[in-house]
Amino acid sequence: MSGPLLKVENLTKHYPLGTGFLNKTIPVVRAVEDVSFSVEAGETLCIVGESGCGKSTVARLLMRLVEPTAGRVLIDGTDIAGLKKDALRAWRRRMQMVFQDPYSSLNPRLTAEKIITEPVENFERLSRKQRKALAAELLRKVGMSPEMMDRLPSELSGGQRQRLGIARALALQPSLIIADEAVSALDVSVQAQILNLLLDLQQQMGIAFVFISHDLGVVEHIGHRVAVMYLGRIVELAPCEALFAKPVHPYTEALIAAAPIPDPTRVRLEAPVEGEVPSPINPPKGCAFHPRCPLAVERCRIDVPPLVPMADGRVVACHVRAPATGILGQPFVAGSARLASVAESQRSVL
Amino acid sequence: MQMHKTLGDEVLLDVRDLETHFYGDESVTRALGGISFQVKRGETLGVVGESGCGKSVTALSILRLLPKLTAKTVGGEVRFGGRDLLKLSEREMRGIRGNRIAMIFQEPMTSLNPVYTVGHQIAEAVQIHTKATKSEAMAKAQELLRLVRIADPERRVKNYPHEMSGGMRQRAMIAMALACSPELLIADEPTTALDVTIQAQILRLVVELKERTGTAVMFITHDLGVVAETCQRVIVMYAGRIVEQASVVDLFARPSHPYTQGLMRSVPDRRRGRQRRLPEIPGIVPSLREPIVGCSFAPRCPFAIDICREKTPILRDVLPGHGAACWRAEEVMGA
Repeated sequence: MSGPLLKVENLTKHYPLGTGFLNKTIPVVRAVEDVSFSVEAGETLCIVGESGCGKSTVARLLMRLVEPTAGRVLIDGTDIAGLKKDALRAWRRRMQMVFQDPYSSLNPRLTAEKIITEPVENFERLSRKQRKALAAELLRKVGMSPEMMDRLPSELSGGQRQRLGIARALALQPSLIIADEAVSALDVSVQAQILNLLLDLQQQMGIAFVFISHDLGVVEHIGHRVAVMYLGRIVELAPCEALFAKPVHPYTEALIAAAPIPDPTRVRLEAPVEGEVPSPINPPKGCAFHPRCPLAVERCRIDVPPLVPMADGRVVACHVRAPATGILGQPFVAGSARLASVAESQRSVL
Repeated sequence: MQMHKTLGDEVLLDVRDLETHFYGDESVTRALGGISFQVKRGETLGVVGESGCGKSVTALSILRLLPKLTAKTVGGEVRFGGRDLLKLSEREMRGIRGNRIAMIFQEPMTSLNPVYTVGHQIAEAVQIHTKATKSEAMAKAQELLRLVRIADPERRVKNYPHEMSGGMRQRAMIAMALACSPELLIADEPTTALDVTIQAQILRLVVELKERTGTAVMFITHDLGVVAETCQRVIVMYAGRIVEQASVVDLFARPSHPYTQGLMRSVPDRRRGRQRRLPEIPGIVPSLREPIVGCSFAPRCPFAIDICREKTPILRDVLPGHGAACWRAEEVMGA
């Protein structure tokens, strides 16, 4: 059987602004709009985009820290929305999260030992000896000395704290770790250490990652596939190398062109994309990127472009670059049929 | 126009052996351990390094904006316009700040006053430093907003900071800094809090304005990509000292300090292949509370030999105009 480890279908999250009175319609923030993707075991799927594109909301929806407005999150084929207390707890063992800020995501009053063994103690009683052994093993796994287990977070550096956050996520031996900007707050030399750690862990333990980041250099380095989000929607999802070698969506292109390159001999020819990200309360009609897009045509102002599979296994939502009756030569129906064909073509590339 | 004649020759800011300490309950942190560098008229000097290396403290020491109770510049000179800024009275210093040397910060929201309109704040900066009347200053504010490419400046001068996006606020800060045509602009991580597409716009703006006005820029950043795109010369700082200084092309072509090399190699780069382990700089930054014997980078350095652990290397030229504070810089450069 072996379907994907994680499957996300038409995930949508709207946050109402205030409460409605009688029949007055409530304005909503459209944080996530019709997002679908899947993650295979041992794979790293990166989600990139700028502030407010909905990437962190996706992370929260995957962990069921917030409830979706519509859509489904399936892990090994089971819809997590239907899970009740005990089943939900059991399922949480399979998915863990690493947060951006290694300062506020660790309890300052607990020792390293307590922090990293706490997830296990939620499920089973550990003797003092077992707990010490587990802490030592986890610390070694993240490249720290077991002697550190008596330290408080305040006695550790930023990099060491992030290692603790990762050790805590590893404690339950999850199959999937969701890392939300996990290296963004770190200095580059420390960032390199943590990225290496994540690559090693994936290789040794076969962990899948959903890696959320705004840093394209980091994403290109560790991703297998990349989803680019803009204003709540995925605009392009492609194998990592293909995406960076030849971005198809104009926003992906603009994003890659905007990242500064550490090479002073390179002359920047292209002008940066103009304008700013519009408000998700009142997103532009049609394609949300059209007010900033150099390629925009009449149709972009009217219809939301669907995600269209391309020959090289990527999906792109753009009327100009990926017309719906494009490369594969047939119109697409919304829903599961489209998703299946997308997953199919992606697998053939990977 | 006359700027171009002297570009790159005349020294505008000359910092010598600048030393700043922070005082805690029972310890002294040597945040700056005696640094010397120059900014030439009209050039952009990049200052790079990681958290705690002293790059922001350098800027605050130059402008004498350090917290008075906990920090003190204990030695050195900051020569600007023929005078030592460290010897000026507070009153004289106010005539320099915002006027001849302006500064922009990382978080534009915290540096703008939330209860006044953006136009009011820029006009105020104009009025403090020139004899302009209120309406002249307001007109100047509008003109400055246009200069930093804010669309619809007639309307935007009436905006409060919270009515603007992060990118627009940073543009407004730049407009305010440029209000008095300063000779030197100190920009401390001005794009770090911004999204990449907005960062690209702001970087381009800074480069264009610098070319147009001839203002020298001291650009403090942790991002080597930003340095490569905006600066002519670079100093690299580590643990309160300058470890390398060179033209930007030279620095990237021939990094001559092991720390600079380590920093450059730890940035993910497609040219070296994906999914590979990145070269790491092992260990962590030393504490500046205890005196450091020898080179502060020695415990993390793959090149370290006995002398590195005993004597502090001074910044010396390894090539004309390219200095490194390393006993083995010549070998490091070739490695």
